[in-house]
This record gives sequence, structure tokens and C-alpha cells, in this order.
Amino acid sequence: LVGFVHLDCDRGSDPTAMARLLLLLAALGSTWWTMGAAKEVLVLMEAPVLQWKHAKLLDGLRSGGHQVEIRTPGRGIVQLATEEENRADALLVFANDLKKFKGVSIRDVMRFVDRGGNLVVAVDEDVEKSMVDLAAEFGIEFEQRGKMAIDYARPVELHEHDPTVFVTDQINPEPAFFGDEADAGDVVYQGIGMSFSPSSELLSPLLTGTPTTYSSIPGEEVRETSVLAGKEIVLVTALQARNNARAVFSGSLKMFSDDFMDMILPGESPEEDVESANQVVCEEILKWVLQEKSVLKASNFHHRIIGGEKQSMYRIKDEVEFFTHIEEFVEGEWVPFQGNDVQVEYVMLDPYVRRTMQHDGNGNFFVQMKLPDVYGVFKFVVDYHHPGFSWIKYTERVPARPFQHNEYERFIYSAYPYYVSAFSNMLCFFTIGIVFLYNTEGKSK
Amino acid sequence: FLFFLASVERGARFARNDVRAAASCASRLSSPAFHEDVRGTMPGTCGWTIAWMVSCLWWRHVLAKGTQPRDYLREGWSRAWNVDLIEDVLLDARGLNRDFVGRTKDAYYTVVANERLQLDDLEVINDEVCAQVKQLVDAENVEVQHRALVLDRRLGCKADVDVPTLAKKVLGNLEGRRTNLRWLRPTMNVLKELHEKAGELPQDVKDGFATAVAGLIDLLDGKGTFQNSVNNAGLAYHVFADAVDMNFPSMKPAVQKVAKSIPQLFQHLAAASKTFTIVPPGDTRDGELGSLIATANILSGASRLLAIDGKGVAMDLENMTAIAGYLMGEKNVGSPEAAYYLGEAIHALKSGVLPDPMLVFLEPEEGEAWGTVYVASLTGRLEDDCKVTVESISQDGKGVLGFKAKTLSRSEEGGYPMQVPGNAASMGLYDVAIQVKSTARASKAARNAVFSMCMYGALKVDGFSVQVLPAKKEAEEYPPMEMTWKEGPEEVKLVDRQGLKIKASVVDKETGTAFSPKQVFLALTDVGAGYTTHLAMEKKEQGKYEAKISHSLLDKKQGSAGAFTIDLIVGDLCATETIRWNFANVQMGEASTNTPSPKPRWTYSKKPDIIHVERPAETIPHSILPAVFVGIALTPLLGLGVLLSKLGLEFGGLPKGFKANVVAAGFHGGVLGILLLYVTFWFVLNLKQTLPVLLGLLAWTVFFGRLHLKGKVHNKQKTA
Repeated sequence: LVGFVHLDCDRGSDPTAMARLLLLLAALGSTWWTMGAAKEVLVLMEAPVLQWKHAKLLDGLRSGGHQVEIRTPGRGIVQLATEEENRADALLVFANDLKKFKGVSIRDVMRFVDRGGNLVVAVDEDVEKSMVDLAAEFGIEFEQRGKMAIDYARPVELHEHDPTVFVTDQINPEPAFFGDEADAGDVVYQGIGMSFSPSSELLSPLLTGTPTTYSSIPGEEVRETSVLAGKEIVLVTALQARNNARAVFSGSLKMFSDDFMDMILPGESPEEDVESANQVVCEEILKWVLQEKSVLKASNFHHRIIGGEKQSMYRIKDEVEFFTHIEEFVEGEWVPFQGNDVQVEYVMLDPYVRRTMQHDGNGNFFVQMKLPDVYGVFKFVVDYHHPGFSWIKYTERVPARPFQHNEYERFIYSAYPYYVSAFSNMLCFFTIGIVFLYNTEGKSK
Repeated sequence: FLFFLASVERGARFARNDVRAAASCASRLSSPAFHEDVRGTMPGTCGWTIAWMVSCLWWRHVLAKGTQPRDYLREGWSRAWNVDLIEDVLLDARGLNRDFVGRTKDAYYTVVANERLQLDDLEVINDEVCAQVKQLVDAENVEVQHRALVLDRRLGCKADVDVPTLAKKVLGNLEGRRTNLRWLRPTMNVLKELHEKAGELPQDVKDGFATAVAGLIDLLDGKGTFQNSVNNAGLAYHVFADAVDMNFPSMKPAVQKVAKSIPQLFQHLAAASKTFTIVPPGDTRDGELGSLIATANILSGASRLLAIDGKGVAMDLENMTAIAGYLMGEKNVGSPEAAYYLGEAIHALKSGVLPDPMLVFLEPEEGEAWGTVYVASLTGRLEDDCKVTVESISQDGKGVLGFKAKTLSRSEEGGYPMQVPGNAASMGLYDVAIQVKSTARASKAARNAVFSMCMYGALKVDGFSVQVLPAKKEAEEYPPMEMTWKEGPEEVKLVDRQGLKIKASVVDKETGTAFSPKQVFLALTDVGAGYTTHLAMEKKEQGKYEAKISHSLLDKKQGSAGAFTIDLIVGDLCATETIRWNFANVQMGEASTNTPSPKPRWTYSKKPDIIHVERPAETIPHSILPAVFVGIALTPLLGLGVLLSKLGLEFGGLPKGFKANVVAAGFHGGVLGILLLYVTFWFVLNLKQTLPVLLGLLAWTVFFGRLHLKGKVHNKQKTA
């Protein structure tokens, strides 16, 4: 989909490599530093009325300091990017048909994301082919048009006669997405379901159906044998691209609407009535997409012999240490990252050593490892892609060499006969030489 | 300059959708420092913005004045029109007004909006507006004249107007355009204002206008070329009503004639409305939107005529409802133009002369009541004098046996509660047909409505069996295991290529009758991965379901081995709760501890750490063996020692003399050095470091060795 932020160091062998690395780090660093700044958000809405129906969402963006530009169909050409750069930091498409917006094609949206732009797509059961195709580019498969997610067990209100409006509490528990809000409660949903390959490394479900949710045409009996249902029916999907762009696909437009955000869900008694979690969840989704949370910044990658210095090449079986410093963007500032699953690998085609790094609570991650007894062109690789967090990819080539002849053990017990014979041979040679040259005992006799 | 030109264009585009953006745009461009040409493009933008606000405010006004507006109606409108936003923008507009006094259109809408909002503190603005108004009442543009005159009257500017001259001028401008209703209507508006201002118009002006109106009537009668469009008809109605407002006695017959044609016109509109298609407002400046605007226009125009003489005019309420309902469709909200005219139409309906179409809706309730039927006017006023009858209750096109039509009684709260009929059959979805007749309305036409209502009930699984299917077709079938609902999961083991056959019957728990829910699924959950496959059970007959889970399906979905649970899920729209029953735990194949559990879906876990396993150390012999061989290796040295001791040593051949000793020492030192170099190479040096030293020592040793041996030979020859 998009290129790796790939740092490849070859210390010593190529003097320009480090310069390139520094330039890359500087470029990435400048991006990270602007992360907390206000974003320009371009909103494509299918109909003008949607901006009033989603006023809370848009007001939330504006109050967050973001510049929001709303475009509706029939109002001229929409330009997502110039030749050089994106026109906005984020693109929100609240529409079932991309073709309604002049100047916007699937290719344009893909290029927007490839350039690091963030994307939110919300559709409903009337989704058109253009949006289906757009989702497919990201590996997401929307259900057939007309089908909706249905749940008889968890309707918003029993007597509303509409099982397509239901609540789900199946929020992705990964802290990177919703943090403490993962148990925010019930989210009201009405729309279409989607699915994607579980083997995808980039996609994560943000919201799924409950065990009783299924996808079908409302009011009709299910004829197919195999049904997309339960937790397998994904309602909102997140994509963390390798270039650290982010995208969210929602099968429901209404999920983001004021109506659903303000909805009071009936409890057992009037005192137990609760507000839907839509507002909280939608806010967290937007924060995530706009890179206001779960953004990581890694720096100061370093390695050395334990108790020694950094080297461009280590000897097999060396005990080495690997360090880095990782920070997370939280509430507008960088704080030490507290992840316990950052790993470093020593790779030659395949990882020979993989170790989980410890941290001191201040963002300093470190690990000690023993290099393998295989020599060759190895690399230190940190490839951290915990779902929801931005991607950390670091590669540095640090080969491993074999022992030199004088680095082996000098005396091996089982080789003592050899040593003894060698040294006795020398001693004999020297002694015989002396005796041969200077002894007169035999001659005198 | 170009930047601001672009901003103007952008503002104009925003205006139709985003009043706040338009106001912001207007604010930026309102500075006198900008070129007049730039500002000149603004009135359209801000004019429509304010027009939009005015119509919205009117809606709010209508709803607020409604006798008993239903909460949901009021909330619905408030959400749709976002009254708070409108108020904000209007207040902004008041501030902006100072910079827009040169544009009568903006001033006009601002003042009208302020009046509707009943806001005060307009004095400062009024002075500025009046100064402009006085200059504009004599403008060339008939619309500008109209607005200036309205402002003059409403703000009390007391502009010095020569009424006869201006009236003749306006009429003169109409010459050659009498059939152009878009010109005729504002001309009439100007004349009406002049009539109001002066109290009376000169007779020649009245005659001139009567001539124009007569020509219009002829056109409506088919004499001459007249584009009998909905919009033109609406404008014509307004012209007639304006004429009547001015109390032209000669107009009354024409008005009556036109009024009688209104029902036919509505029928025409209703027929046309059925072909309307909802298109995004952004693309509807023409075409469909034009029809909507015209429809709203004709509603307001007709209402004015009917207010004059509408008795005995039968209205088709069904058609009216269709038209008005379509007009009120929320997808039209995005267009300020449609909204403005819609506001006008609602104003007409609110006047009470034009019959307000009835809306029948049902508010569902829990418990014994199915819900409450409400009858309301389009403007939200509840009808409290209706006869509401439940005509029929049917399911799948068949009426419920024994049901008789029943009239609902009105409750004190204003609705008509509808109880769940006791003789309705079992649970399920029913079509309830309701007829409403208004006793107060001039028209006695009934309004029919059909609601889909649930007879709620609990579901029960009655009759359930699980049967293991043989691996081969010809093999003998295993007997089915009959299970009772809610009993614990059956442990099932499948070997070879065995499958499962599951049968279930679903009934209404209350009546025991077979029921076919919308959702009858089997959920197969892999115990290790947590991954669930859902299969829909095949409906064999009413309430009877069957599913076969073949080995190949299991293999495909769950893998060839492993454990999984099977749940039955039964749900329906009219079921009070969804059944979820874990009836079996299945072990496929032999339980194997070697097969790693598949990774659970959607869960992240870090990769396992890898510690490289080094090559095993080479095997070494027992420690006694090296010791033995050390002894053997030392044997020659020991033998040499014994031999020398046996032979006896007498170093009589040692060199004599200083030179000979130096040469001998150099030679033996060289040999010793080579031996020591070997030892050093062993411990410290590498070959590269060793070889140069070795070469030096060799040269040294050869040199001194040659001298030494030469000396030895010389001494030997000398001795000999």
C-alpha cells in the first residue's frame, strides 16, 4: 500500500548512509513535532443536511482547534492534493458514493493516504460501488448493498420495530484505540457490516457485532447457509498504514450523528437509563485518526558490547546491549511510552535472536542478548506495530564475524598430548643441537 | 484582489449550505476598503442566507404557537432546522447589517427576520437603512423598489415618494411584459405598497393594472400564449390576491373563477409529485427543486385566494398531504431557496384557510397497549375531533379471524390508545389498517394509514435433536439424540469424516403454535481460537428447521481437528428475547496435544522471544586418555635424557675466544628465538605478525649458524 519508513544503516561501509539516515530522521522528526498542531480537515458530505445531523462531531473538531472545510456535491471540483502535497491533514467522507464529488476518485484518495493523509469513511446500507471499491483497496469488504447489520437481542428499544438499530458493546479493548473508554458502554449502530481477512497486519476491528448480530436484508429470511454474523461482522474498521497514515471505515453514517450521540438507552428502571457511548467512541475514533493519540516517536537507537563500546561488527556469541528511547503522544505532549512488547531482532533473512525490551518507565528501552554462533550479514531490526499505535521500523546492518585464531581457547585439556609433543620436540631439538655441537664425551672415549 | 474575488465565489457556494460560513465570508468582505465590485457580489449570498433564516424562524414560530405539538415533532423540526444556529447567525447578521445597508435585499430580510424574532435595538440600523431606502425607492429595478417601499413602511422612514409618478413608471415598465409573471408580481407588490402608502391610487393606475390582470385571466382561460406551469399559476394567484387586497371590486369575479380551479390544480400537482425523485439539493437549482418551490408558492398563493372566497371549494387532502409531505422531506432542507418558499407555504397553511392535511402516526408503547394513534396537522397541531377506526388486522395478506372493526376512544392526553386485540392470533408481525375521519374539517375525506405492529411473545425450542452423520453414505445412520431445550451441552465426538444433522422446532411459548423467526442460526465456535462460524438453519416448514454440518464444512471452517461448541441462536422482531443455547460441545478427530492452538482472531500478542540455540560442543575423550598420551609424548624426551646420561656429557667442544662465543651465542640465540617465536605465536601473535619476525630470526640464525659451523669446521681442520 505504502512505502516503509525504512532506515537502513551501514555504518562504515557507506559514508553517505548515515547522512541519509540523519536527513530521514530529521524529516520524520519535523512531522512528529507538528503532530500536536491543529489539523486541516476536509469533510465531504453527501448532502448538506448531514452537517446539521453531525453537528456535534463537526463542532468537536472545530473546538479541538482543527480547521474544518465542508464540501457537498455539486459545488465545484474538490481537490484533495496538489502535485506536491495534500491539501488537508485528514479527509472525512460521509457519503455513499464517491463519484458525487467532482474531482475525487479512488486513486485520489489512495494518493492522499499514500502521502500520509488520514481518512475516515462512513457509509450506510446504500453504499455505492465507488465506496465498495475504495474499501477494497484497503482490504475491507463491505456487505452487499441493501444488507444491514441486524440484532434482535439488543434493539435500542424493543417496541421501535427496527432491529437494524441496535447497541453493541464489542469495542476493541486495545488501549491504543480507546484507552479507558473501551468499556464506555453501548454504542448505537445502524448500517452495513463489513469483513476483512484476519491475517491482515494493518487492519483492526474497532467495533464488532455482538454474538447475536448478523448481516441480512431487513425483514427477509436468511437464505444463505453461511452468514456473516457475531463478532465476525465488523462494524468499524481501523487501518494503521505502514507510512503511519490512519484510516477508519464505518458502515454507519448515523453512528456519528447527533441523534445517536444523544440517544438515551433505557435501563431496567428510568434511573438506570444511560446515554449511548457513541459520542465518546466517535471522539476517540477521531482523535486516533487525527493522530492525537497513540502516536509513537522512537529515537536514540544504540547498541554496544556489554560494558564496552558500540561496534560496527560484533563477534559471534558476543553479549551485547540494545537501547532505544520511545515516547508516546498523549493529550498534546510527548510522554514516555510504557509498552511492554517492544522487541528487537537480530536478523539474517530470518531472526536468529528476538528479545523483548525492558523499560525503566522513562521511555528508555533496553535489552541484553547473546549473538548467535553463526556469522554473516545480520541486521538489528525493531519492527513495532502494535495495533493502534503508529509503526516503528528501524533497521541497522551490524554483521557478526567468526572468532579469530587467537580468540579461541589456548589450551584444551584433550589436546595436551599435542602441546607436550610439540614443546618436547623443540626442547629435544635444541638439546640435541647443543650436544651434537659441543659434547666431547664420546669422542674422547 | 484576486484572493478576495475567490473568497466571494467561495462564500457564494457556501451560502447555500453553511450559513455560518456565509456570514463569516460576508464579514470579511464587508469592509469599505474593498472594491465596490467585489462587494457587489455579496447580496445574493447573504440575501439567501438570511432568507433561509427567516423561513426557519417562521417554522419555529409556527411550532411554538401550535396548540399541542407532539414533542417528537418539535424536536424533529428543531434538529432539522437547528434553530440555535440560525439565531446565532442572525445575530451576526444584525452586526453585519451596518455594512449592507446599501443592499435593500439584505436590509429587507434582516428587518423581516428581526420582526419575526421580535428583537429590538434596531434604531441605529434603522437610521442607516432609512438613509439608503430613501435613495432606492426611485430605483429602476422593480424588486429594489418593492423592498425599499416595504422597508420604508416597516421602519417608518417616511421617504418622500411621488406615488402617482412612481406608479405610472412601474406600470410603464410592465408594458410588453404583462404575461411575465416574474415581472408582474413585483409590479403588483410595488403598486400594493404605493396603495398602502398613499391610501388610494389614481384611477388610471387602477385601470392600467386591471387591464394587466384581465389579460392574465384570459391567458389562464387559454386565450393567448401562457406557460401554464405550476410556478406561473402560483404567481398568478398571488397577483390576484394582491389585487383583492387592494380592494379592486372589478377583480372579484376573476378571483372566484380562479379559485374554483384550485382543486384541479392540486390534483395536477399531486400527479406530478408522484414522479418527483429525490435528488441532492446541491443539484436541484432547476428541475425538481423548481417544482418544489413552485408548489410551495402555489400553496401560499392559493391560501390567500381561499381566504378571500374559498367556501365550497373541495380540497383533496390526500394529494395535499403528498405534496406537503414531500415538501417537508428533510433532504430539501439543504436548499435555502426551497426552505424559504416552504416557510411561505407553511405560513399559508397556518393561516387556517387552506385545509391543513392530516398526519396520522402511531407512538408504540409497551404492555397491554399497542400504542397511541395521534392525528395532527402538518403544522403540528393535534386534531381532537376525529373518528379513528381500526379497520383490519392482517398477516401475510390474510385477515385475523374474528376481528371486527373497532373505533378508538380519544384519551385526555389527546391521542387514541389502541389496545392489543385479544383475538389476534399468536405472536408475529401484523398489518393494522386505520382510518381517520375529521369531523371538524370542511372536507370529510378519510385518511387511511397502515402500521406494522408486533404481537410480542416469547419463543421456545420445542423438539430438538442432534444426529451424528456416518462418514459414508451407505453406512448405517446413528440414531438421533433427542434433547430438551436448555439442558446442558451434549458431548459429541466425531471421527473419520462424520458430520452432524440438527433439527429444531420453534414455537410460540404462549400458544404453542409453530413460529418461523427471522433468525435461526447455529454458531460454531472454535474453543482454541474463539473464531465463530455462523450457519443459517434451513426452514423446512412453518417453525421446523434443519441443518447439516458436513465434515467438509467443518474441515473448511474449523480445521480437521479440534474442539468447538455449537450454539443455537433464535431471534425475531416480535420476540421479547433472543434464544442462545449451547447444546453441544464437539471434539473433531483425536484430541491432539501436538497441534498448536490457532491464534485467536482480532487479538494481538507479541511474537515469542527467540534465543539462538548454539551448535553442541564437540565430544571430548575421557580425561585419562590425554594424560596417557601426554606420557607417551614425553617418552622421547625422557629417552633422550636417559640416553645422554648413559653416554655422559662433556662439553669440551665449547667455543673458545670472544668471537667464537659471540657467534655461538648468536646462532643458539637465533634458534631459541625461533622456538620462542613459535610459543609467542601460539599465545599472542597471528601469522601476519609472526612471519616477518620469523624471517628476521631465520636470517639471523642462518648468518650466525654459517659463521659458527664454519668456525667449528676450521677448528676441526686445525686440530686435525
